[in-house]
Amino acid sequence: MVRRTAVTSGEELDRPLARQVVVLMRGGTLACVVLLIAGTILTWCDRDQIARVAITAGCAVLISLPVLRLLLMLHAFKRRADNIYTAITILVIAIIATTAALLFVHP
Amino acid sequence: MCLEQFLFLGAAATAASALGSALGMAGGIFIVPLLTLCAGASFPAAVAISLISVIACSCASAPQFLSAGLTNLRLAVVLEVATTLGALAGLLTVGLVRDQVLYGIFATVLLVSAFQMMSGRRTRDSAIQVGLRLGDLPPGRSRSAAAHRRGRIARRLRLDSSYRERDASTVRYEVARLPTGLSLMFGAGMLSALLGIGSGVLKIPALDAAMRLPIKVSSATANLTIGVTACGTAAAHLIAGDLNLTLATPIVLGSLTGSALGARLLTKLAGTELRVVFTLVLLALAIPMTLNAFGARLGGLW
Repeated sequence: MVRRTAVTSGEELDRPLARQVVVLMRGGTLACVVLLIAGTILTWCDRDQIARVAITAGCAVLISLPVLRLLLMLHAFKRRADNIYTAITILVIAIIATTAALLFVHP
Repeated sequence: MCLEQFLFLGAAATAASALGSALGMAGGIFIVPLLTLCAGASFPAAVAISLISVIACSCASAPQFLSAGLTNLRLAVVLEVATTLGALAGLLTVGLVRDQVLYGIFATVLLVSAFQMMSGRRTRDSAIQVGLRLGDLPPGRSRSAAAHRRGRIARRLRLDSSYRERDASTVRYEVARLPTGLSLMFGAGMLSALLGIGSGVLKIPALDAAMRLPIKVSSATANLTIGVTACGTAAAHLIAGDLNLTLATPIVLGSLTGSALGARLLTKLAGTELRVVFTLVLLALAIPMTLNAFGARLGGLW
C-alpha cells in the first residue's frame, strides 16, 4: 500500500493535473499533425501561400504546447495557493518569453 | 522538395525518434547530422528544425509517461528554471560561436553519448529506495545526517515522490543534490539552444547520477523538460523567420510518429541490441561531424 505522509501531499493534487496535461498534449499534437499534413497536400497542389500558413500554424501549435502546459500548471498551483510553485512557474514562463523575444529585438 | 526526399527525411526522423524514445531521449541528436550531412542545410537552419523535432518528441511521448505516473511535474518545473536560463544563455552566445566550433561541440556530444550508451545507465537503486520498497525501514532512519542536509532544499520544495512499478509495488524516491543537478541542467539548456538537441548527454549525469532519480522517473521528467527548454529558442527562430518550413514538415511529422509509436513498440525488444545500434549510429555520425569541425564542409547529398 502507498503510505500517505505530509511530504507527499502534493502528489495527490498532481494527479488530476497530469491528466489535464495528457489531454493537452494529445489534442495539441493531433492538431499539429492535421495542419502539417494539410500543408503538405496543399504544397503538392501548388497552393504555396496557404500551405506555408498551414505549416507555420502547425509548428506554432507545437511550440506553444510546452507553454500551455506551464499555464495549466500555473493555474493549478494558484488554485491550491501553492505560492512557491506559482512563483517558479511564472519565472519559467518569463524566461521563455524573454528568449522568444530576443531575436525579435536583435534580429 | 520531391516526394523521395520528403519520404526519406520523414522515415529517418521516425526511426531517430523511435530509437531515441525507446532509450529515453529525444531524437534531436540524429536530426542535426541528418539535415546538415544529407539535406545540405546550414548548421543554424538544422538547429532550428531540430529544436521543433525535440518539442515534437517531448509532446508526443509525454502522455504515456504521465499516464504511468512516472513524471514528477513539480521537479520538472524546478529543473526548467535552470534549463530555460541555459537556453537563453545559449541563444545569446550562438552568434559569437563559429559553425566549425559548433560542429566540434556536436561531435564531442556524439562521442560522449556513445560512451554513455555503452556503459549503460545506473541500474542499482539507492539504499533509501530499496529500504522503503521493503517497507521495513522507517523514513529518516536510513539516511545519514549528510544526506539529510543535502536534501533540504528538495524537501522544502516537496520534490520527493513515488511511482508504481508494473508489479504494483510502490517505489519511493528522494531528490538529492539539487544545486548540482540544476547546474548541469543549465548546461543542458545551453547545449540544447546551441546544438538543437534534447541534451540527454548532460541530463543523464544530472538526473541519474547527481540527483539519484530512478531511471524511469529520470527519463519521464527529462522528456517533459526538454519541450520547455526548446520552445523559447524554437519560438525565437520561428518569429525571426529562419525556419525552413519545407524541411521542417517531414522531420516534425516523422518525430511525432516515431516517438508516439516508438516507446510502445521498441521497449519490448529493448536491451543490448538496441543500445549497440544506437552507439554505432552515434559513432558513425561523429566522423563526418568531426571532419566538418576541421573545415571539411561535408553535406548536401542532394
